[in-house]
Amino acid sequence: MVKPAPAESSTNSFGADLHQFLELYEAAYPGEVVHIEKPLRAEWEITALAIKLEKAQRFPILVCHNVVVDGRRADIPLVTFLMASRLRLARTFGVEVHRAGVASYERVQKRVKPVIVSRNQAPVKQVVEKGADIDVRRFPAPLHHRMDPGRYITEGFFLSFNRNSGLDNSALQRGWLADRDEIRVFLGPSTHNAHNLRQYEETSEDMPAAYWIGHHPLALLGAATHVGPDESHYETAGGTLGAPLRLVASETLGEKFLVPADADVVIEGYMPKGQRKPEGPFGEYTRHVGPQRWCPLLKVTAVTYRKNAYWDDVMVGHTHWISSLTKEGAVAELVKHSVPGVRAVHVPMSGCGVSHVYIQMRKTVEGHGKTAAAAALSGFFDIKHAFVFDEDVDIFDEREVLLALATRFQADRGLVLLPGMNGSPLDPSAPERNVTAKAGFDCTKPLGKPFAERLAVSDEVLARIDPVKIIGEKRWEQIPVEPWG
Amino acid sequence: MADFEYVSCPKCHDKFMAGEEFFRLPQAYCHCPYCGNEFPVGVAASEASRAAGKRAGS
Repeated sequence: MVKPAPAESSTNSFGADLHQFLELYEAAYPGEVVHIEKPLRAEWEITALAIKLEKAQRFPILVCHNVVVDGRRADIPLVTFLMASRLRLARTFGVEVHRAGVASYERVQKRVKPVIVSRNQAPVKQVVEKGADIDVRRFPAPLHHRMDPGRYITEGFFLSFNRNSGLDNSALQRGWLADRDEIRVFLGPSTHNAHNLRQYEETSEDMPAAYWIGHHPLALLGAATHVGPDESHYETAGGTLGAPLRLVASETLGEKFLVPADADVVIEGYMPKGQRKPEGPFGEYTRHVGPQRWCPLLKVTAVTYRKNAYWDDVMVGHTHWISSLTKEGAVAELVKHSVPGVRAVHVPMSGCGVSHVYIQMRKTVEGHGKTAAAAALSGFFDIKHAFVFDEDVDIFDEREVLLALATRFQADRGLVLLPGMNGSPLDPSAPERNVTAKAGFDCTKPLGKPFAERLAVSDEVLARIDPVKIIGEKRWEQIPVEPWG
Repeated sequence: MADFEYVSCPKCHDKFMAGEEFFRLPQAYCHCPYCGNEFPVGVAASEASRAAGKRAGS
């Protein structure tokens, strides 16, 4: 595999919190941070804007300064699409865009211990609200899709600590702002936060917990990384950011309950033991709705935020690179242990950023294509289809990918079928929960046999012929673009 | 992912997806995402119906 430029070579990660990132990134790329002053309703209008931008393949950071919540302008602006641009994250890592996955994977392997700061050094303590002043519904969280029961925290990390070891655990887990001091939280049963809750409930105790919202994109990527139960997410966030995460004591959960000092918003509270309420339905990453669930809830005891806070949102079910970018590097790392010659890996958004993987390799031994597919399918429960291509196929261009599937794949010899595998619980087509059939597609050319050449003209002619100059700029603009061509 | 059923809200009659646990757990109740109505289904609905029948018969 070609080694990418090391991520450490980046000399500019655009600061260490969300505010520094926005300021520095906008200074470098002013066209990619869009400030919207026009009023946008929290109910579906921000999602509709995102849908249209996604369709147009444009992914600027959207800073919505006038979000209307229940008929009145929200006090703080909304930031969304922060993680929607692969190009932006590549620049933040300091690498070429196709190498962003490997750079992300390498960076999230790093660990940096957090540091503790005092309250007056913590921007997130600039505003502190308790008791009757609490109302989480005032935040400009969007109502994302039809069938969602209300407005949701989506790019918020749910934070709890292991009752026995004291280890921190942060995970992006959705929360419905159901009442002024109540957030209903979906904790997948196999998550570490659910495990932490079980520990507290087994001893008949309420679990202290919090949401932290808004931070530097690299801190978000690091904190969202799946790690073992004995590893700190604060350390992965610091390692990925390249600087220690600064932590500060909570307001209502004790001095040992530490929250990120440079977050934009922290919502503290506790999960009452044994209490459950309905949560959802909710639009999922699969671009389909997931059902209502019987879930625990966070009773809010304090809300703290910056004076100039942003509310950070991720458009779930639309383009974002939070997990897929790191997965590209992880797949490359895993597959190269089974077969040599892996050149690149792409986890495309057309597969929900999770379900499909394209592997580009130089095949030197017959069988390596199918072996690479099987390795990827076995190594990741949520990868459902793996496609393997020769190195002349541009796996970042899906027309080339589908052409190779059409012209280099024979189902009777290139198909890998793995029925009854553990799969995503959210796949709408799964025959039963957590079970799926997986398939690999070896689209590599057979070795040692003649194979038809791709159509081509000479590189010199291709470089020299400019259709705009030949047809004329005005006529060129009049010719409709046909995306189905 | 057939671990849910569509349920119809008895108040607004709109339909939404409810997980299998709402049909299994006697304490669970659904929340209509459209009108906010809360109502039992499955085991909880049967128990509520039985309790109402007892009250009516006594």
